[in-house]
Amino acid sequence: MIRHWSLALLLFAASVQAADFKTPVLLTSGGQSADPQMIKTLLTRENIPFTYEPLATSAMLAGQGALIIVLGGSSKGLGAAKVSAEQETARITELLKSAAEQKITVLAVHVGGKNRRGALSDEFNKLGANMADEIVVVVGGDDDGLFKGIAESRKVPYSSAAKIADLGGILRAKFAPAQPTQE
Amino acid sequence: MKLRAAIFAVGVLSLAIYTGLGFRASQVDEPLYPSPSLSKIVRLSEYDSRLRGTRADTDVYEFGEPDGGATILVLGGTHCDEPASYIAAYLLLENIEMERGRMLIVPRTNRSAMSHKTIGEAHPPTFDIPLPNGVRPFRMGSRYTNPLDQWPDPEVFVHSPSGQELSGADSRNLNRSYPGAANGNFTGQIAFAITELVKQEHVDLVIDLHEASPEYPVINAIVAHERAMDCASMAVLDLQLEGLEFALEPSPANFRGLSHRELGDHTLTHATLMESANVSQGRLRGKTNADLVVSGLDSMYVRAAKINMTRVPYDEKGIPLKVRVGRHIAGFHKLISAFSQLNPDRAAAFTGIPTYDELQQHDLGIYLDPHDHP
Ligand SMILES: [Zn+2]
Repeated sequence: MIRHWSLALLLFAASVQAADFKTPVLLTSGGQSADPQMIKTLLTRENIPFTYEPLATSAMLAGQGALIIVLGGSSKGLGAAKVSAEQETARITELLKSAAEQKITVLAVHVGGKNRRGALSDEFNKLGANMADEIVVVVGGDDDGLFKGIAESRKVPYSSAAKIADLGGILRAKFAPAQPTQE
Repeated sequence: MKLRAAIFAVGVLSLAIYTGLGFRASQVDEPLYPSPSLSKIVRLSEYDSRLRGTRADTDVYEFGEPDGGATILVLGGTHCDEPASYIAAYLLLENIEMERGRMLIVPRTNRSAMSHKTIGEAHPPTFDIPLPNGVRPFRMGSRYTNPLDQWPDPEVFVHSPSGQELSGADSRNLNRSYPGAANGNFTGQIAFAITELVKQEHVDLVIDLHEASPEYPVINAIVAHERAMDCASMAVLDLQLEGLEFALEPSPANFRGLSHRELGDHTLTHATLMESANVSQGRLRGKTNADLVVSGLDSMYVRAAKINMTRVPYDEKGIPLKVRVGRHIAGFHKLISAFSQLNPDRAAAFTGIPTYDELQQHDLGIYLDPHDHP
């Protein structure tokens, strides 16, 4: 089976500086939806070493090469995790600030489409997008250009994928053992 | 005067005969034709003897042998007004050839619910699936246990053991009654028997098949208990690669009584549930008849989709039964292959079941033709 990842990708902001992704990866949620589970499965498939902690804090950043935050709020998920939207916002802010201080690259991913946009989700979406080093959105999640707009104003790379399954190729390209002297 | 009385009496009598025959027909299980891979049929009452001889005692079809492969349980007809759920189960049991592992299929999980219809829904008593030569009729039932088996409903249904309160009618909803109790109400006893089956047969993977209305938020989805999340998310990605959009929904931790929650919490199984979109359950539907059940095409839903009232794409093509059954069958393929990849020592393998594309090409009747089963 041939997967044309490149066709599924639309790369924008080619001029901006490419982020430097290292492994292992700390995978966390930004809003406690089930969406990080899909990224977890993709990372497993691509043999990219990672730790998944939906409620990760800065204490877990030690020894990590990169942070992936999967954006989008779920009131059910927040309820199940027994955290309020305010507590989730505080956790994300603390985590992303600490990652920036420690120069750990942050990839913000949005995979939930329209269902993960709206008042609750957008609080986390904006927060994550405004602090990430790169943003990837699955089609349907950025029809109004919120993420693209933030990426352009902050001059960070932005890309979109046609479907979640296509993110496998994107993650592979970013995290797979680097080709010698790529730069 | 006497003539009028006689005419009236004849009218009442014919009405009684007509409805009586309809009632009798609704009590008769349509014949099923299990594939040659069948190893045995047991009754659900084997797992809770109080069901013996009741309308809820139902067949459990077993395929394959205990050979170290996974034991998988498919539940169809938990809600008998969700035809894709039991038609998919019928298709599986009439075609599957097990190569490794055991497949347990309960096509009429709430058999009591298949014996009547919900008042006010105007659902047809039967619908026909076209065969290469002729048609095959199937009953349509209800979401709820037959009130002849459990009546009256309480004002408030208190789920045991959680104490969660739901509307009274949900006391007859099997998928609010798990894990069930030996001394519970009739529907709770069905749930108890299924839970016992999962325990005693060491079921590794449960696939509970459902449908929901197109405006319901959890739709075109695989719902999974925490333990089954890896398996379900792998299946969802595989389905996407084949062009079938499924959402992954975690089983809500504090919504009790659902199969994925309670079977996951009370047994060691990987509990999953699938939902397809069925307009004949929808609140926005127009004329309700057998055609609607099979074609899944309703002009009201075409209008609803145009103003974003549906949670799934919907247009003039409708969402026919073969698409809904096809999605269940595709999910079945992918859940089992994901489980097998994640648990190679417990892998299961089978043949005989069409892919989604094959089913769309050939239609349901090819796989449900009794003449193929001498
Ligand atoms: Zn259902």
